[in-house]
Amino acid sequence: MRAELNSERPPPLGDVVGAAVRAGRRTRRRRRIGVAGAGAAGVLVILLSGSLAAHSEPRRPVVAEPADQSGPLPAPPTGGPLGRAAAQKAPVSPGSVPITATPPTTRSPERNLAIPSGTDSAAGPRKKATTGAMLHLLTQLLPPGRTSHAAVSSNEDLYVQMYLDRGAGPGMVRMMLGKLPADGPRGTTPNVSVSQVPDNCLQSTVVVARWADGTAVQVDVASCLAGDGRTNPPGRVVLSPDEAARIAADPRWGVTMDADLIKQGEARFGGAPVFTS
Amino acid sequence: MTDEDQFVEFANAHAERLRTTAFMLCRDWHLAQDLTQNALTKLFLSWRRAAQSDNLMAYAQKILLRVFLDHRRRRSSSESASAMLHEPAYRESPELRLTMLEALACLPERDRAIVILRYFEDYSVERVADVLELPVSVVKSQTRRSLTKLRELLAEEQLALFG
Repeated sequence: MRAELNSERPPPLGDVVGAAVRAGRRTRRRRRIGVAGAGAAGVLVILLSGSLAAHSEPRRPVVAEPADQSGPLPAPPTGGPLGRAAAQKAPVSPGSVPITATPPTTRSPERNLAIPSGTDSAAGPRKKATTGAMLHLLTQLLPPGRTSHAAVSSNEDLYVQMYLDRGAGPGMVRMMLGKLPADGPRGTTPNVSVSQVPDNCLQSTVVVARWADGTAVQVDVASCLAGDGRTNPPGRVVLSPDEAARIAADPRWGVTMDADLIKQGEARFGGAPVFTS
Repeated sequence: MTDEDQFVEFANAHAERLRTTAFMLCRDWHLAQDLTQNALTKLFLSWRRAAQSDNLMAYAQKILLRVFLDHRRRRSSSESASAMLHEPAYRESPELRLTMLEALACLPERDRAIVILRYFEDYSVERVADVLELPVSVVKSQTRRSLTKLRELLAEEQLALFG
């Protein structure tokens, strides 16, 4: 094969590297403009909605409400009866994720829940999410235990890995953030689907929280640990589906996240290694 | 040295080798050039992360293979791997020798990539599995099948030449 290659007369290589650098710079510029445009559009929407609210306030008729209806607003009608009921009972506090204590069990391999987040999103400046911030927030949301093996995906996806040992041995959790094209506000209630994948140890349980604005948060609870390319050693399943759902539904997840969280995450996990398989 | 300088240094040192791999995959120097440039662009965009990997060349090869496979998927109407090499031009010109590269072109893209990585780049089975994101068992079985197929193709050629 090498002898055959030697007999080939390849054309000159040319400025492949320079062309790649120029194309890369162009793509980077486009991405930055896209992010800046989306940010500006978001600010404009916030300003407009604030302005509308300010103007419409005095015109609102004041009606006395019965005392027993002073709870939080019900969730949007995206979930089933369970979700709505849960939403009506949910306390509203930033950072908390009210959830029914025990979602109904089902024999179906996948179930859908509507989990009220309790808050739209954290106030304050927001920045593009990073894997470091994801790992940082994940450590805050995981149940008590020893965390280790924090790692990130080899490409630029928002995809991270963490081990958790709750005393019975380590188990692996991976999670991914993404955003599908969708119009509209984020809302207060993500739809959460829980799937069991018995023949895939890396995704023994897959929980996906989908928000109305297209944000999707996926938590993969593995029954094995990260592999070496050949095999994956066995691990503990360290999160129940409910615990994973609680993590996925946290309102702080998003393709943009709180600026402080980003800063702390990058300081703590900015140099996290890359996981392979 | 900035990230960009580091990238340029790496790319200048390895572009030729990447293009050779690309050529073996597609057997078209111009397409190989395009694939190499696309792969280097992607590498440029993910340089910060790539620079942390243990084997930067393997990382670059991985990107190149993905670019190649994506290109093939997009061009669904393009040439397809055929099990037999009985093209009219070949039959009418017996002096045209069936080379190893031509025989390789008869393999499906993924199998071709496995053979090239395994026997041209001298990658281990595990490393091929990592680069192509395949189980090791699949790499082993596909390598065996591909070699059998190559032997059959080249044996036919030898009979035609010397029979």
